[in-house]
Amino acid sequence: MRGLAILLVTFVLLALESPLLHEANIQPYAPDLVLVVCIYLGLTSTFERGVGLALALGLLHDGFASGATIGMHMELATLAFIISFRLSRRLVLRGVFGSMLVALVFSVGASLVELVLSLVFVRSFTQGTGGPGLILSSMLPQALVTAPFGAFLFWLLDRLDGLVTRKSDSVFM
Amino acid sequence: MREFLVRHRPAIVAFLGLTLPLFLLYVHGRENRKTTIIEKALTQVTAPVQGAASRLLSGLSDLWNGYIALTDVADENEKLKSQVDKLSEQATRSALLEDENKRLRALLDFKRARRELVTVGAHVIGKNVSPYARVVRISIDLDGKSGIAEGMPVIDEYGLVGRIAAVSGGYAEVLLAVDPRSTVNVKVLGKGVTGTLTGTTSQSNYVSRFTYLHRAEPLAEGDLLVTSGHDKVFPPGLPVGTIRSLDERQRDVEYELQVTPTVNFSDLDLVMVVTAVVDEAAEPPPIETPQGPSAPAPQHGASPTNAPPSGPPTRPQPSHPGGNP
Repeated sequence: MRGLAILLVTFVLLALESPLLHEANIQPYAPDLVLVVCIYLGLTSTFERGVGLALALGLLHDGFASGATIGMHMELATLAFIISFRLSRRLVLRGVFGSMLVALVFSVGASLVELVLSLVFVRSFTQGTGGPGLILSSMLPQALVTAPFGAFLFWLLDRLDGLVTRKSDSVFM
Repeated sequence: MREFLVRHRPAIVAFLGLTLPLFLLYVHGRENRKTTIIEKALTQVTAPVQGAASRLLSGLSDLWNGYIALTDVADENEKLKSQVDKLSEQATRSALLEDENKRLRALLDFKRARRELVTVGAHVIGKNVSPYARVVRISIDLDGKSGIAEGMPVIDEYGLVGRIAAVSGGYAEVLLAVDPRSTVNVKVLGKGVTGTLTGTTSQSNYVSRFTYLHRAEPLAEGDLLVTSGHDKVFPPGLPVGTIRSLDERQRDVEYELQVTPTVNFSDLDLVMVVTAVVDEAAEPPPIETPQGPSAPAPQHGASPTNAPPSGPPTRPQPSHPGGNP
């Protein structure tokens, strides 16, 4: 029930992301919503269920991101979940700025992993000019855009968890 | 065995969770491959939802622009409220209709001028959200019965947009001509210079790179580049771009120039997919002066498939050449 709710909310957010960003004219940097959801899952889910959910969310992200190579966001989502799960005892989302910082650091890491995976697996990646350079140069702006959405999504998912599971504790300090 | 599986379950799940995406990446990262069933299924699931979201937001935006934003004015002057609302709505609607009419007329003129091109109309429903790719998703009007296939050229009234990269049902993804993975054989109209046009990864604007070996005649800023047809992918004579500046860069034996696309990629809405090129005598296109004072006059007396292109219709210029991505 909880997993389905998170999947549905993410699906709706991803569907609205592209038209909303174009309407608001804040292209070309898009917040990595799935990455933030996977960090949250790592802090709150069991391992097996979380991996399954991260894979499904990554696949969904691959589907919505036109031009993305299938598997790229799946790998990033699963990695983010596993790292977040492993750090869950030490990682504390302390307030808005803490949440933003966590999202920012994970986003930078995701860009680096994306760069490596693109170089290894995506044959057309190095054909044009500046593919790797572009990822490196947009790494920080991308992370800065993801960070505020990170704080908002952590809060939203925490509320959603409260509604679906009627839990009283929160990942926020 | 079972005990082993139970004991190492988290490790096995993690291993599977990390290797499955890598396998999919390997399969989908290859060059010259067909659209896989996973891509088709994903497009079938996501494209209709994305299309609906796009329409919903567009409707809300229209509602906001046409009505809600005017309620403040209405509050200030209650007596004129209904009149202001009605007039504003009519004005917005008529401006939208006028704009749509202009675009459709330009498309019709283009179709008349290039009768040898069999085309299918399509709406752009989604644009790339990645800063690395220049891909748009389109909804094909004929709902999967259009014979659209990968590699088919996509154009609008201003010239070449790109080529179909993936098809699924009534939806397709278009690799734009300004994507770094795109290569188009082009020639400078009226001058004996041919070469290739490749996209660049410039983030601030849509710019392409024209690479050629040598110049038979001196080039000038604003010279129109059209498809040469040598690559057997794009029909000859489609406007592609104009030479942006004559700051040449030499790479080995090749020279490079920056090119401004004729298509405004930031404002793509209606496009046409070229499904076939028939051997029909084309109506001679109206002779227009292509962009810029130094642009050459179109050639005459060419065969239908080598019909000289008219310059692309003039369009409102975006703040950056080719529009902002």
